[in-house]
Amino acid sequence: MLISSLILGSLHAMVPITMTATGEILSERAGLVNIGLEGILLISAFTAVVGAEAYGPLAGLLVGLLTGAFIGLIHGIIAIYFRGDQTISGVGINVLGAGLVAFGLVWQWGQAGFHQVPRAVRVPAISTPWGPLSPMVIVALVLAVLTWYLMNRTNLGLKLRAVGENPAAADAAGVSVEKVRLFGAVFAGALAGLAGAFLSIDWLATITKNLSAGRGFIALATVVFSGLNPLLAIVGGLIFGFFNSLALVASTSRELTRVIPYQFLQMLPYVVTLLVVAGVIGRVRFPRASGQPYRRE
Amino acid sequence: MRRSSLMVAVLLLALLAGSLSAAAQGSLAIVFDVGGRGDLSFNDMGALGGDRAQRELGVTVREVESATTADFLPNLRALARTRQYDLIAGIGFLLQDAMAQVAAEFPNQKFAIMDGLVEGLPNVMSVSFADHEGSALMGALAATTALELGADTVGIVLGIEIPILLRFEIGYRAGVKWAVDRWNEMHGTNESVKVLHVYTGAFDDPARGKTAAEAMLGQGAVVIYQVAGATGLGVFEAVEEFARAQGKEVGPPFAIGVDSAQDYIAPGFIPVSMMKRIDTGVFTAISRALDGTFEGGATLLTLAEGGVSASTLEDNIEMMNAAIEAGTLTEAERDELLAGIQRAREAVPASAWEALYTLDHLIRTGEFVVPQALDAETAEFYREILQ
Repeated sequence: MLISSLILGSLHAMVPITMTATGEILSERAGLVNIGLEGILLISAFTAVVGAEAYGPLAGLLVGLLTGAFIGLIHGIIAIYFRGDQTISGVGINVLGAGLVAFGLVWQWGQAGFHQVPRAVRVPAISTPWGPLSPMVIVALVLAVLTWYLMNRTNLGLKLRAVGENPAAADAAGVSVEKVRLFGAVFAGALAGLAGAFLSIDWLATITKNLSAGRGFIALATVVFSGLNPLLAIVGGLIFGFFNSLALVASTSRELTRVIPYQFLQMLPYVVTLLVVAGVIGRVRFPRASGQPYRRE
Repeated sequence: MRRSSLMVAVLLLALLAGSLSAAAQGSLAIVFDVGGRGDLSFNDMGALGGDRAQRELGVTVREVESATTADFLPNLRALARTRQYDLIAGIGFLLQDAMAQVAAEFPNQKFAIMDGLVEGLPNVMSVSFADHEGSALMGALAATTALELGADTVGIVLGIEIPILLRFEIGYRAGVKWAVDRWNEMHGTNESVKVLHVYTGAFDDPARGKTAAEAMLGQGAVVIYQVAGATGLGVFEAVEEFARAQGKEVGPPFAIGVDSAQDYIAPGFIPVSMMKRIDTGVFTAISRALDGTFEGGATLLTLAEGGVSASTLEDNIEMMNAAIEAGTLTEAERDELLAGIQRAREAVPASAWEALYTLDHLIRTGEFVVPQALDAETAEFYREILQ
């Protein structure tokens, strides 16, 4: 009973981290960094509820995805065509998310703080012998594998990596640096958007002013941790999800918390992530043109 | 002849009514937290307190909404400047800084803050609520429900470990202990009920609440009390999902709400909530401002004074009607929600309700004193002795 809830809990906690990280990995491979993932998660979680309440859960997921893609597009245009600072644009998205959703809750439902998503418009779960499982768990895994394939086994993937490593050479070879990077920006936004929709209309069935609660930043850490490999982003998401669940499960035990204070138990997911990043993975090499706008000579 | 006597009677009545309202002159301004009316929470309860003051004291009430937290200061200041209100009440601790500032600027204006604390100003009454007493009631209901269902575990999911929350936890444990002792005495048994508690470290992460509640459900908890703000929304979701996965439309397991009547959030699975009576707080503050007993500083409204209570069906109806008035709820939605709440209430064993109301009575009369813990050491002490 406890074990199955631990496993299912870990799988669900993995989804937003892995999905968001997967998109960002592709974008960073092309040399474009978006630290506004947290904001995208939050805004998309909000718009997904609006979409789902109007046209059902599938529409909700789509609205979330499109919201993320749109924000990614704006970020991309700022960073690529206007050569704006990617960090500042990303921070802007996070700030926008915090304000927009707090205001949107009151504006849309007249309730400050939170809105409960009606059962009828939530993404239906797959029932398993161990409990309900969200289909988005499978979607997240498939997306990570497909993204890996796209990056490593296709022509577009080659262009993506070329643009991230040496945009001038890619440009000389006839690759449109701007277009490829813009694709990365939109792709990263779309996946974060879908992850945001998962938070609100699937996993947690609610929208609050801070529903993302730092998951966008954990996803950014996972991007580094994975060494820009989407398959390792699955591992990263699972490790974080598992230790996150384990910490809370362990915190309920009086016998255990007498020996180890619960505050230490709840540090586990972060400590383990740090250890893995620092020790096991070793040095991660980022694309050479990461975070730099491309200017044709 | 008959008509003229009727007219005289009407005139007399009108005069009487006029003199009555003149005798009980008074005016109250309520400044709401962001979101304003129709939140099915503190704001609506504050408005209900204003309604009661209007009805029972003949006070005129002015309600002021705040679009953002930045509006608190100008709103409070504008009201104070008119000098026509006997009391300005602020709903919720978020107003506390703005109120401290404005109260210092207008020392002759009386203020009251609900569920917050403004220190060092004689013209501000800070109303807090005896949440440990209310939490004990929840513990009594939870433990008796567990015993009736042949279970031995209940839970409480909390936010960040701050002194106020320790008070909730220990109050809840005290209620559980009381109910178990009573059960054993009545049945001649030697049962025990284990209380699982988790401080999730967050008030704004429903995912943590959901995971913590799942861990408790996995260990056989049948009732989980949430004291964790938005984190607690995850507790409701976990409980409902767990029950529905077994094909149930109604608990057990059950969740218990907090602060306001949250019974509507997961209809069928939240039979009761521990309510902080913001309405009583507003009413008490304006009453005291009018009859000259107003005093600045902290005021704790106890269970006996109506400061906390277990939510009733009537509380839910009253609050939903307030939301309908504010336009955020329709009558059809209300009736559907109420049906769900009613189902949850009926699914709780009668003896659990009886335990709750018995303890309510004992706390009111002072026969049972709920222990308070406001630091970690005291809390640990009570955790040990309340087993």
